[in-house]
This record gives sequence, C-alpha cells and structure tokens, in this order.
Amino acid sequence: MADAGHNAPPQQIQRLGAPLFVSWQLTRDCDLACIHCCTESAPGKVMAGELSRDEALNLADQIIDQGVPYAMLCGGEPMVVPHFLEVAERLGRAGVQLKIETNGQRFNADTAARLADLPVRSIQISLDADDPAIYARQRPGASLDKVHDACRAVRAAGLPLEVTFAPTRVNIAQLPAAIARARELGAFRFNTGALMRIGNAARNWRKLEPTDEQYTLFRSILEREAESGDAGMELCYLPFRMEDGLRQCLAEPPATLLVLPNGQVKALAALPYIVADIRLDSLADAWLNYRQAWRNPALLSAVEQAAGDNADHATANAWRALAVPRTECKKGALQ
Amino acid sequence: MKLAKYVKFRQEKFGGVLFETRSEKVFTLNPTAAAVIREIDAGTAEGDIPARLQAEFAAQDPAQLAREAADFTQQLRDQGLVEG
Repeated sequence: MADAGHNAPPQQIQRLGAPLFVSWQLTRDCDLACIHCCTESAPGKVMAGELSRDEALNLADQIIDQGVPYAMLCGGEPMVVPHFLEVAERLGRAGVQLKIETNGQRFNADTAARLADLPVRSIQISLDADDPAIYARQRPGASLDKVHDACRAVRAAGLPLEVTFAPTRVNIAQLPAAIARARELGAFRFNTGALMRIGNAARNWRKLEPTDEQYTLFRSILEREAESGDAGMELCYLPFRMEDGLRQCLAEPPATLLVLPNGQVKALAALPYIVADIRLDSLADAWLNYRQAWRNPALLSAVEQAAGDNADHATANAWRALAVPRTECKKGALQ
Repeated sequence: MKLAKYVKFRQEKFGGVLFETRSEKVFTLNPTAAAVIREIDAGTAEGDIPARLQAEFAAQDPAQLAREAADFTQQLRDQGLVEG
C-alpha cells in the first residue's frame, strides 16, 4: 500500500486552506424509520450529545469565516431540528450555498418561502417510488402525497429540486415511474446508485440487497434514459457502487468535512474513522486533521480494504478515533 | 460580466479555486487566473482587466498577459462559469 507521506501523488486537499464542502448532519432524529437508512435514524433516535443551537450557530460562523463555499444540511431529518432554519439562514445570508436533504414530510410552502431568499443550490427530496404502498414499505410512516407536495412547494418558490432514489429489493422496479414523476415535478437532477451497505441497509442486507438480475435491469433503464437525450433532468448514477466511489477517493480525497450531529468529524461516510471533534477543535484544526488523516497509512489501508469488500461498510457507524498526531499536523500542514 | 449563479471563488496560496456547485465541479486556478476572477468579482469591466493585471504582474509581458486573460475569459464563458 502506498505511503501517502512519501511516494503517493500530491492530493489537491493538501493545497487547500479550508474545505470546499461541509456535509453536516444536524441530528440523527427523524420522523421516519426507513428500512435502508444509512445513518440508522428513526423517531426519537437523537444522538447523545448533539450540538445545541448555540454550538450549531458557532459552527455555522466558523464555516463562514473559513470561506467554505458550499454546505449541506442533512440528518436524520434536518427539519425536526428547531434551529434548522436559523442555521440555514446564518449560512445563506453570508453567501454559503446550501443543499438541504429532506424526506419531504414536513417541507411545505412556508419553509420554501423562507429558503427562497437564500442561495440554495438545491433541495434534495427522497422519491424512492411512485406507488404509495411501496413507498411506505421502504419508508414506514411516510406519505408519498406529502413528498409530492414538498416537491411542488420547492418548485413554486423557484428553488432547484433534486430527488434521490435508493434501490432495494422492495422498490427497485419503481425506477421508471419515479423518473417520470421526478421529471413531472420539475427536478433538475435524479440521483441514484447501488444500495449502500451502511446502517440499517447493512443490518437488513439479505432482505434488501437487489439481485444481480434486478441491478442489470436497473442499470439498463438508467442508461437508456440517459441516452434518450432529455436534457430537462440529469440522471446521476456514477460511480454506481460505493466501492467505486471509494477508489475515486483514494485517487483524490474529497475536500469535504462530514460533521456528525454530536460535532465529531468523520474522514469518510463509509468508514468509521473520526478525525476531529468540533467541540474540542476549531473547524480550521478539523481541516488540518482531515488532511493529515488522508496521509495516514491506517486510513488509506482501510479505504482500500473497504473498496474491495462492501461488507466492511457495515461498521461505518461504529465510530472510532483515528490516531492523528495533532501537534505535528498543525506544524506541517500548511504548505 | 459576473460569476454565474452557482459559481463560488476562493483565494488560495497557489492561486484559487472556482467551485461550480450545481455540477459540483472544482477548477483550480493559477495566480493569473485567480487575479482575473478577482477582477470579475469586483465588477471590473472586461476591457479593463488586462490593465489591472499589468499593475499586479508587472514583470510579465503585457501583450501575453492580455492574451492569457482573454483566453481565460473565453474558457469561463464556454464552461458557463460567468454570465453577462
């Protein structure tokens, strides 16, 4: 395995003074209990020690001060967090472009109107089926009508809409109908890919993993739709498998900090490594630690291993600290 | 001319980065390109950019600097990174 500190090609992140993107899980709590949820969210599953309103606003200020151009607010379900809109407004009014991931159950015209004044890059809503019963099997407790209403509220407010489709054995045959619905609702992008073996999906893997035959048909539909030349909505499904995405990360680590609800910062969604704690470290220090982590043979080895075996992702939410020599990191990180 | 709606610029020690957030594409910029973006961001008229660059990069050949700025501005247009 390459030792990134010596022989590996230079990584772009080592030249950047701050992250380009912060993916921020505001909470693990959610109003749904989706059978495939990668963060193992469900009603009442607030994580111990989630950032308070004041701590969240402080982090938002650090994102602004560091010149981070783009941030995603997600969860869990961000809209169950009382200070969600306050955080979005703090970031957006300072010019940070926003992506908001929601299940759409609580997103209405009032929410859209408040967000419409901000630099919103997109509102991403889960649209995994066009049959209400199948949607509710994949996302117990969910109303597909509410999702459609949320999508319409987004577009009526002039906000960009993208949708996401997580394929499982339950819903995978719904792809063509979901694509058609997303187009009708005015989405500019349709995101999908192979089911990630993380969180609830890992736990229910035998029941949820689509068969090879299902995936073959799924891919052929996506390729046919992509070739159809309908420029109104982009189909985004590559890299198809998380393992391919991990190999891309090895070649060029993303300039992204992934902040968990309790302020801990992960090296990568698919792996359990923590590189910083926003309660102890500034965002600037978290970035230095993150850069150092991507030179750490232990992390690189774990990414290589996970890229070769998707069973490895099953422990992605069982976090453990990655040994980052912080003092050394701070001395040597800025080049 | 101004940066397109979903384009963000950040100064870096090596020059700068342009981040087109809609496509999530990142473009790294050398110091000259970063200076052009700064001028666009500041509202400098396109025709005035070469003269402004000459003040900053006095050691460079003015004609070449003007050509580089024009080529780069055209690339920005072609990629949809600027509007107007």
